[in-house]
Amino acid sequence: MPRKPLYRQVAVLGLLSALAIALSVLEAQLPAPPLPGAKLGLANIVTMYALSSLSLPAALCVCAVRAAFALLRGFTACLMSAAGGLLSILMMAAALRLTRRLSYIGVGILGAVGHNVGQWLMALVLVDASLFRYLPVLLAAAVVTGTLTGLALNLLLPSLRKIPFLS
Amino acid sequence: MRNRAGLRPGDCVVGGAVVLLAVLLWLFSRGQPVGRQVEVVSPAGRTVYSLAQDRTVEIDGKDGVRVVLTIADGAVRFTESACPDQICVHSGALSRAGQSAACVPAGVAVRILGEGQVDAVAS
Repeated sequence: MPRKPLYRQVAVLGLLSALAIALSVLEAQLPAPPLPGAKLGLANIVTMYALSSLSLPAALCVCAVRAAFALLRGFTACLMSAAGGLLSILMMAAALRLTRRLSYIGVGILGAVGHNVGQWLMALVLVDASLFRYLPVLLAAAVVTGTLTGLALNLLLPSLRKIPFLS
Repeated sequence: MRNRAGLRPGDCVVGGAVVLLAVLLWLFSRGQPVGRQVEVVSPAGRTVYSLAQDRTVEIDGKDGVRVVLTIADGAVRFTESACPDQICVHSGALSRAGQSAACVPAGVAVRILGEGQVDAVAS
């Protein structure tokens, strides 16, 4: 992919970061799921898009902006957001580079698992080791939410590719 | 542009593997009260005990009222109390986070710490 002028990269990253944050806020307005910590992870769609259609640094940028924005909810929230985002990106990046046998659904599941496990690890450190028992619930939830975000990206990609500004 | 639309066999493998891992972890951790703790507040101060380790705690409470706490099988209960009403003894065994019981005459209260804090942080 040819390198784009810096201002366009900044603009696209700003747009994606804003979209990710807006999706998180929107998701917070939905009725809470019965399991604490299990979220739909709509913002993961943005991360997955950044990774697959842009680059790893682009995805890391979006993750960093999200974590910084989470500072509004406190330092703990910021650390949890960063840990979840980072592990999620690393797992999805590895999946996208290493294998062609996964569709966005499989990549989405790995991303959701990474996000939940990252947050869980940070919670173990920050809160209480008794959270250990909660991991199976988070893993099972990640399969569902990852499938949904993967499906969403599948549906969105044809439209996203028609936007000249992004491609 | 790489095309990754649709469902592939690999997706099912990943999903299945994660579900399997979740089930195995659940079976492994079930019945193991890992790291659960009980907070005991008495006139002598506040003490935290692990629920994973069975023990008996004798406390000389207020006005010479003596109570005995027993921790067994990941639960804590008042087994004996010198108080007249025995409400604490009748409270039974506590094992879930946030549960509490107290012997008011002795000024002794117990509360299970732990997973109840998930909601506050993970939301």
